[in-house]
Amino acid sequence: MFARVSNLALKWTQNELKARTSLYDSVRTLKQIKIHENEKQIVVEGERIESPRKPYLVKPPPVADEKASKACPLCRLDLKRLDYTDILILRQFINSDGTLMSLQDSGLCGRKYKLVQTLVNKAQKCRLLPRPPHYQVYGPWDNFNTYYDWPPRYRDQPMRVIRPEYWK
Amino acid sequence: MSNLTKFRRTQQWLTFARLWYLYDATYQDVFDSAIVIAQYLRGMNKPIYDHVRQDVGNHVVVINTSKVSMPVDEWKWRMYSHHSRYGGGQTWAAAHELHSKDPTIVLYKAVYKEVGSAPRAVNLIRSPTMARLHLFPDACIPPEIKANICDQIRQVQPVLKSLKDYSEEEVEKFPKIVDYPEDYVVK
Amino acid sequence: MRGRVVKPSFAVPQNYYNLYSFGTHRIQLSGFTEQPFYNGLGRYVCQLQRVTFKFCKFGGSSKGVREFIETDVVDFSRQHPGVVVYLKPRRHKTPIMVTEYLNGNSHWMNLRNMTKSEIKLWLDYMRTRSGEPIKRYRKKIKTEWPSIQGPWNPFLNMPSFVNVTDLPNEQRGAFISEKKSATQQLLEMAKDGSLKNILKTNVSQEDKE
Repeated sequence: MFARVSNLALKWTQNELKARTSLYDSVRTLKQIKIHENEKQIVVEGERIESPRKPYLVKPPPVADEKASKACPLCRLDLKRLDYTDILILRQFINSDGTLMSLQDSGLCGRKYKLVQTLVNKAQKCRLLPRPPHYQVYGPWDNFNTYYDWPPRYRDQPMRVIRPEYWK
Repeated sequence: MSNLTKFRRTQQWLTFARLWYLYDATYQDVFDSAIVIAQYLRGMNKPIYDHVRQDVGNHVVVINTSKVSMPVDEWKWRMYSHHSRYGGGQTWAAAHELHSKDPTIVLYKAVYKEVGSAPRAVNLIRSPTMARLHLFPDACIPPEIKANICDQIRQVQPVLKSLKDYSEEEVEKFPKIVDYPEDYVVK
Repeated sequence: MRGRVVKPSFAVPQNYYNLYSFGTHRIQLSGFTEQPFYNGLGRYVCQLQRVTFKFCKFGGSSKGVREFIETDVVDFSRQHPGVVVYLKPRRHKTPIMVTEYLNGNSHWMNLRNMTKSEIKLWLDYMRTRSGEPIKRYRKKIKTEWPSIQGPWNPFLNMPSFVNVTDLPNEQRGAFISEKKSATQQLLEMAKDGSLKNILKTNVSQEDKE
């Protein structure tokens, strides 16, 4: 794969280019970017790399039904009670800065993608996964340790008892 | 006392010995753990427990109280009131405000409530019962207290692990469900 | 106003005519079972020491007592020389009998309108008593050694590794969940071998074969 940049790239300095491509140079990149420099032009080449996940990739158990075999991997695994605490599973669907992968990139079906999305949001609320860069924190209470309980218990509901002018 | 032999006297000291329990409050719900701590403080875990005649309570040492947890947004909703006995002297503070000022006070108040919500005989021994509660915001305990500890109370909830708590090798070697698609650039 | 005054059991004086010793009154003494010294083995000693009859010489209610005195009291004192019998005539009073025992207890009893034979039976009953007050047993069993194994202590059934290990210990204090989480399920499936590696080359080879 090649990307020839003639006029635009000449305007960039060398440092700017490195800064832009620094993220791509990490170990986990699938495409390593190489830069060839001539007198007139700079060639930016994306070299393909083997993914680090490949040796640890798993295949769900074989299914006789053809329709079932086309299902998404999370459906075929059929894990019981996938929850927001299973962050090693949820981590596979987010980037290092905490943003969620798109539906097409994740390779999941719509239902499981929706499930993963809610669970990732819960995990980020409890600070188990890294929060995305523009995550809204409304107050200091968002930075204390919290958890989601299921089934939810409504103990004495102070928010209903106490008048809102005393909320701080 | 004169009728007791030396052996039976020491046996009596043994049955009525006050134990020192340790409780690790990391990621534990404040009010659930307060119920358990109050039971141990009043000695309800013992078969010789008697709420009328005897005080057979234990000591409880709680560590990591700054890491206690509440259900989502309860830090915001849970309010604590205080009255200064002057007119208009009632003030209100949310749980996160109290917790940021003193990381032990939220758990103290929860245990205080649980100890006092018992029959009338307990109210008389409420202050000596609460005096047996030792709260520490972090994991370090003074050595004179640590020397007494002989058992641990089991936690109420699983301790949640964030991504930082796992080692890199553990994260890398965990079985992967899906591979990266082609032409995908990992950020 | 004359109301019923309920006295606690400890307020009952020992040497007073013990109204409560029979347990028929509203107040009943309570206590534990006791045994005499040497389990009561040895010679018999009559515990009754003194009997006092108070009666009226004219009253109809003490007619039975008068008959008893005329016929049977002398025989009684001859048969039981260890028992002192006092006869106290008191004008216009109901007849009573007070029995005093070797342990210091005494029992007051009303003999109003009783016949001779009834008094004879009651006196025989009082003579054979030990003098201990009839009381409600708080427990039906009393032993010097309530448990052979010894009483409970807080270190009973505590695992011994707790003494050796440094607390806080995860094995002792961590929460034990009943159900397996999804990560544990996935790790176990991977360990069993029910999940296979799908390196794309391998898959193609398997499919071809």
